[in-house]
Amino acid sequence: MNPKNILIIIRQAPYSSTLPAAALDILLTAAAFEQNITLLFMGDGVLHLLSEQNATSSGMRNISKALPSLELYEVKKIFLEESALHKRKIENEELVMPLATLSLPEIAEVTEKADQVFNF
Amino acid sequence: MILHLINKSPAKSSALEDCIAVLQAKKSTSAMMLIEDAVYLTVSQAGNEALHEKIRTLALPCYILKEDLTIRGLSLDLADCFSLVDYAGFVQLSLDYDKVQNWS
Amino acid sequence: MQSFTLVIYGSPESQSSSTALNYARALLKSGHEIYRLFFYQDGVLNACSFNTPTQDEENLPVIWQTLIQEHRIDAVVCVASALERGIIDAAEAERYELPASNLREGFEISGLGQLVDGLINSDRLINFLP
Repeated sequence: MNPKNILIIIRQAPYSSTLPAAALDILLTAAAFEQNITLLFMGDGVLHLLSEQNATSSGMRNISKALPSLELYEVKKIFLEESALHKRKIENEELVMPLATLSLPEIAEVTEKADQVFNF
Repeated sequence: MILHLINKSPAKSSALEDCIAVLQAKKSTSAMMLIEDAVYLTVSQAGNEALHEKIRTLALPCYILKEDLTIRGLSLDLADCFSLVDYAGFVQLSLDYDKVQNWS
Repeated sequence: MQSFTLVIYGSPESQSSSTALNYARALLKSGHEIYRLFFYQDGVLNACSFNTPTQDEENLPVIWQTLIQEHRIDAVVCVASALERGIIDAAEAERYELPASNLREGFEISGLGQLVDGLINSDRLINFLP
């Protein structure tokens, strides 16, 4: 059976909800099933990417720590919404790793091409 | 062709506006389906009416789950940009479109 | 006839759990089938057998259980979410030496692989977010 195209979007800020971490767990499981995965950070979701986070006192998992290792799971399509950094006055240098950006029309296209979208 | 499923009031979440922004960015034959607190969008008030206008301009269907209006005591007499559906209609719409995408 | 996987993320106290329940009933009534219910995150609280709501409130876990047993639906509870929130079956109670187990009959504890399996093998996967 052909692998499914799965798009996982993280739109919620870190620490207030467990859903972004749940998204990461779905991603890792789907990767283990050799599905074709795209990860996209939109809106407040880009705040997960800030390198100067200290999650230890929150008792919650931090997605930014897992990002660099995702390539080991063959997850190579990781993007962020083009305007989301600019709107929040965040510079590229403040992120844990450089990521390719998608404009809103490109996001619409990626969404249309996916077989399944998880949008947290 | 996506059925965008939104369940938060526009006053509490950017879900509806973020969804509309993506729909505005590229022409499509998608639709929106509003459930739970998202049905408060149907109330005629200043902030909502600006969003009604955006939905009219998109010219895409915007379905409202009837049961969620009824339990909240909201009017079933809706602005022209909305259509009412029941749960059976909601199930049918999830099959009519290629997939269902949540916005929460 | 189409097959559905429904993923329930909300506790019995959230409207999203009853939305998913009403949706499940409507799809069965329309002649479609449920491939799997997957209870994830706070959704695992729908599988608790200890809930005792006040008399004027509905007991959603009981209503879910009735639907699951009447239609013999595969109802999976995510193991990681369940253990974090204290939803425990007999085997886990023994393994972690806990004083009791509380997984409601009809539900089964398993891993996230069951969600991905549902995504691969059913016609539609619908998420019910809180």
